[in-house]
Amino acid sequence: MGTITRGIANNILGSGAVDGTDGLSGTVPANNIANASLNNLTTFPPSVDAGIPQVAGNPPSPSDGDVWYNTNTYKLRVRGISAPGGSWASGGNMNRARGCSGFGSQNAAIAAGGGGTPGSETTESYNGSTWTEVGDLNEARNFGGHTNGLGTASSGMVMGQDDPARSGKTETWNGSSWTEVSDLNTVRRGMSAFGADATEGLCFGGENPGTNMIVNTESWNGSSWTEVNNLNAGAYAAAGLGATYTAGLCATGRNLDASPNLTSLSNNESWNGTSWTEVGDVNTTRFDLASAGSQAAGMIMGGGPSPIANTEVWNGSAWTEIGDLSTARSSITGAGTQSLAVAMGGSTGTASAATEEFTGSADNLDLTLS
Amino acid sequence: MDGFLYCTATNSGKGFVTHQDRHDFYIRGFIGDVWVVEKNIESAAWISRVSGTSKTYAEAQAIVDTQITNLQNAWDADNEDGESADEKVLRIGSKPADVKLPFIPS
Repeated sequence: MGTITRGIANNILGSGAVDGTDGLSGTVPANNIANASLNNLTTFPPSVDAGIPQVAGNPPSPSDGDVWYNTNTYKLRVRGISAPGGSWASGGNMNRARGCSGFGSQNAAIAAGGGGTPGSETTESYNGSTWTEVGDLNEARNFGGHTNGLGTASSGMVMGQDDPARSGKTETWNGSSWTEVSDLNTVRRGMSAFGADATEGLCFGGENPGTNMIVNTESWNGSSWTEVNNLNAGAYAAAGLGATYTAGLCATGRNLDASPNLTSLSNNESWNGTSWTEVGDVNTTRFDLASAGSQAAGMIMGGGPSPIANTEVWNGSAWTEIGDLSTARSSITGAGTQSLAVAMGGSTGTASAATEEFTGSADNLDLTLS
Repeated sequence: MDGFLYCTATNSGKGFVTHQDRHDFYIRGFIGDVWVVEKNIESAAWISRVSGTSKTYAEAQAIVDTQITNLQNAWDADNEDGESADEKVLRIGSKPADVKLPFIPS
């Protein structure tokens, strides 16, 4: 039978505690080797056995706080929240590559119009994995990304943006078809919007030849647009973020009055239901970008003029850079919330059908021990 | 980081790049279906998983350069009588800029 060297493994008690009463050196007495308690050490108490298992890759369904040793990468891993949280992964490709208008949520989104001049009526619906062509817009629009639509996959709306002539045409979406409703008071393109659904929305900014930067803001009550207080500074192709038309942001955009540079902006204005107030600027200037979320918890991603992949989140007072999109794109549009967002379409230089989904939930993170 | 791997691969949609991939390695897609990934065991497995075609840095950069040059030439050729530079930018967007792929000299 020989001898067994005494060590931690054969001094662990059923409770998981180490029995230090007879020391951890030397050998186990021969008269103990065959007894039941020693034989039972072939199965460690659960508290020890479940300590740090070795896994080739990742466990199938880890829970928050689980730790394991990844034998593929020789790294210790933990299931947890990566601050400030989340990453982008591929979603299903759109049927038609293009910059377009988008709204809804990560697993129930609408992509409407777009595709360059003169634009299209094409509308697609996303279920979290696949895009399906649904009822066309009544009016072809050259929506080229950013936030020029609002609402949910069963109650949304788009406005303005005809080409070549600017228009104020507005259409509402009921989940299966588009209906023409009252026009904007100020025709424009490159405007932005936010709101809950087709019964309430806010439209602001944009441009029209001869007027360039439009600061006008209009409020939608389900049947008509009403002029309300203007933006402090005009913004073309800015991001609009807001879960309701009484609280939201107008972030970044392009200054068309800054000839000859047509500069991108870092501006950020907050709407309180009555007026706009300048708040904290974004970190990376841009326009033609995607956005998601609300006035209290927002997100912007991508943009131009040269395609970028940068993603920033807004906590109600400041913007923080987080993980980039996989593919840098301008003329991109987005939907969803800060923790469950979707970004679709746009241009890498050529039209893109790519969709990316942001998930702010737990991920498998490598640990660095020092 | 031990540098980058380069490949071409067609984005097949859902599952092409997963959240786990994003934590396992840096990845960035470029025009011409060019992908640049951080060099490690898992990124090499990703290239295989997506049926990517491995490229050298020079080959991948050449693909991107060709695509960008074509876009720049098309932009230069797209003019309307009497149109100012700013009006052109407003009409068709800014001229596509050169793109340099991430590269760490050995």
